[in-house]
Amino acid sequence: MKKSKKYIAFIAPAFILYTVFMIIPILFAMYYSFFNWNGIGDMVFIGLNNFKRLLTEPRMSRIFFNALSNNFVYLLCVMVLITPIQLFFAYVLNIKIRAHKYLQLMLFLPYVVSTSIVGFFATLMFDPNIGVLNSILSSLGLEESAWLGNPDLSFKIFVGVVIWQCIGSGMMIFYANMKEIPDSLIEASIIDGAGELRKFFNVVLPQLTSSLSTNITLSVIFALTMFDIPFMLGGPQGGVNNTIDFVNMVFYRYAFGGAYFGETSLGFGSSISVTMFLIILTMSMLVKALLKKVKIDY
Amino acid sequence: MKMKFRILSILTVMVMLIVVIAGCGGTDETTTKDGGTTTTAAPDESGSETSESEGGPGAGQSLVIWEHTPQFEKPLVDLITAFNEKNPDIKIEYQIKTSDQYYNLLATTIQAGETPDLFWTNGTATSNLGSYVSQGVIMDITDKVDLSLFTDTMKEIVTIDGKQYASPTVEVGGRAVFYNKDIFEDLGLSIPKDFAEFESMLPTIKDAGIIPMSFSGSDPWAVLFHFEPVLAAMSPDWLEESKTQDVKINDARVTTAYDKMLEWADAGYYGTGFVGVDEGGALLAFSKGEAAMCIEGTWNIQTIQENNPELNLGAFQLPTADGRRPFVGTSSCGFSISEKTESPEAAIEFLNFFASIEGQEIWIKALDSIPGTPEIVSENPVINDIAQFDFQTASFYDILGKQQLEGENPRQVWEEDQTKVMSKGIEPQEFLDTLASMTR
Repeated sequence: MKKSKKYIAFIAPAFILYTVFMIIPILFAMYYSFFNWNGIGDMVFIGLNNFKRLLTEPRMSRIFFNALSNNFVYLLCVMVLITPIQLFFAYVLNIKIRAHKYLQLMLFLPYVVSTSIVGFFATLMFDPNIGVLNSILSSLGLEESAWLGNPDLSFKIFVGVVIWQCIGSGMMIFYANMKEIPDSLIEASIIDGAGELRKFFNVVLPQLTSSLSTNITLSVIFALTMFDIPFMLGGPQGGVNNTIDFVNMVFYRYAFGGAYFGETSLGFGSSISVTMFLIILTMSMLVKALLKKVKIDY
Repeated sequence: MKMKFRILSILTVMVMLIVVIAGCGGTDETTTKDGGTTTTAAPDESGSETSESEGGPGAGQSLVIWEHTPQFEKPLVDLITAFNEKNPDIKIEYQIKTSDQYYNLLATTIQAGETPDLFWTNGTATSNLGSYVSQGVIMDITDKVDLSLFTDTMKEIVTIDGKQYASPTVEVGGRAVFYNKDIFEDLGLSIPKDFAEFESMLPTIKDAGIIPMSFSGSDPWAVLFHFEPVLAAMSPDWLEESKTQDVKINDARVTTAYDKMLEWADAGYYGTGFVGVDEGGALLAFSKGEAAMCIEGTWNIQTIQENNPELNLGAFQLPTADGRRPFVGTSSCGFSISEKTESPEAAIEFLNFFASIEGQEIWIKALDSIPGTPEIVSENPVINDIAQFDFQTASFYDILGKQQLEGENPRQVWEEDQTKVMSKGIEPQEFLDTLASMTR
């Protein structure tokens, strides 16, 4: 009997849109990365020179690797700080503590606020001259702080803002997964005398491999493509002494030019995006392979 | 209990919404309608029946004009309105972009063959105009538009190989020390007569619990607009030399200006954590009376006065050691015409109006900026304060561009590293040595 191919009609629209808006631009970026081109006029083929400049030219490589290391430090923060916090709050909501619905709303609300509004809130809080925090410190007779202007603090503030804004997204994925855990498992652990900690680590956590896998993969991609929050907090130059500079911001500066300077370099910018694409691809594959290995049997 | 939490949740959401709306409301005047694009059209087309210019140049044609920042929306609207009174048969649409995306969007439209009929550029201040000219994107307007209103210096910014590719404006983009007259009066201070007197005011203001100068150390451009008047006051001879010859970018006379700014920073004259303040925050702190002074670009007068219409605002030029008042001023560029415009007559007609005394008067007054010609007199007393200077100097940024070596891009390095000097991420000498290695 001939197999029906009607499913192609359902797949085709999404496939065509994905190809036009995702695959083709990626291929174009790869193509442009071999050229010296500012967006108009002649494209001059320069082979791998854009990549050579990015990775070996002293000044450029210093900027790129500083930004890349910030991406990875942030990824580390996601793994050791942000994900556990998301997990903790998901569990707290799942066991229905007092006021859990209010807590759920408060934790999820910042996620629906746009990043530009988050930037505005950050100015209200952290501006050394007119910010709320310095006003409080000043009224208490304490020494005011430079906040985002302090190189030792700016990255920590950035991570704090990310936690505040993004905690809701991963938390909801964990929470949804926890809801699927059969009550019988939880009840059995309670009958066996497991306390809250034991119940979490021995019963709940092993059931969360699917949400952990999703959250970790998404976090890796999100961390390596970070742009909007540091841009709003530290401007296009990546904050004081480039402490919150990320690779996507370097791409933005070189591909589209400075705010006033305006000299675009799409060829070089493309080489940055292609390099980052390869790094993200490699990382995602590594994470996928690692997560496969930690699959738990029951 | 459940009901209480529900009410608390609703109240919290409402408070957040109010804060967000209030926040957006605060910037309402500077954001544009329709997602960053604002358009207008000529008055009722029926007016063309009685129009004096019926059948005149460009009649029946339509134009699209691009501007790079919302700050220029009002001048452009006023200009279009006045132009349409004389040329009701020319329909004009304008679009206001944001400066950080402007050139990228322009390059995209050029690439797509949909270049706007008229569009703004930095002129020769950046490489964009030259690039567009070499690609045949821009019309040579040398014998088409009357630029007789402008001096040769003003025309430099639109001239490539002896031909003009845009209309300049008579606007002089300057820098000045803005000051709060009430604070000065309360502290018994007056406009300083020389650099030493200016410096002696700073501890007096600080001791009164007021920030002497609000300053954004996080924005390279805000640092530049502060640095240039300090350089002009401390080393006017270096700037004077730059007019006739190449100068050493890493000259000790330049380093000393940065050292002075760092000395002021260490003394707390910029307030706590100025390296974390953005330009808007610095202007707001000054407007609100948190700071006594602010050294900034003259185009910010509108912003300062809109931030606080009650502010008793004054301005002066930072004096030299011997009491002379330098003025750092740069020419500014207007609009270019697309080579491929389908409405060349209308575009030329519009640009001729823009380059006329009437057009420039409308432009300058709406912009509240400094006129570079005695034929236009500002009604804003602060502008007249700024115009009190003894000599004009070049911009450090322009000197960098003028002396850059082939294939080098010192201004990009400057933009990336400027703020690090103020945050002590690099030494002024190291920063200037890097720039010097990329210039003649």
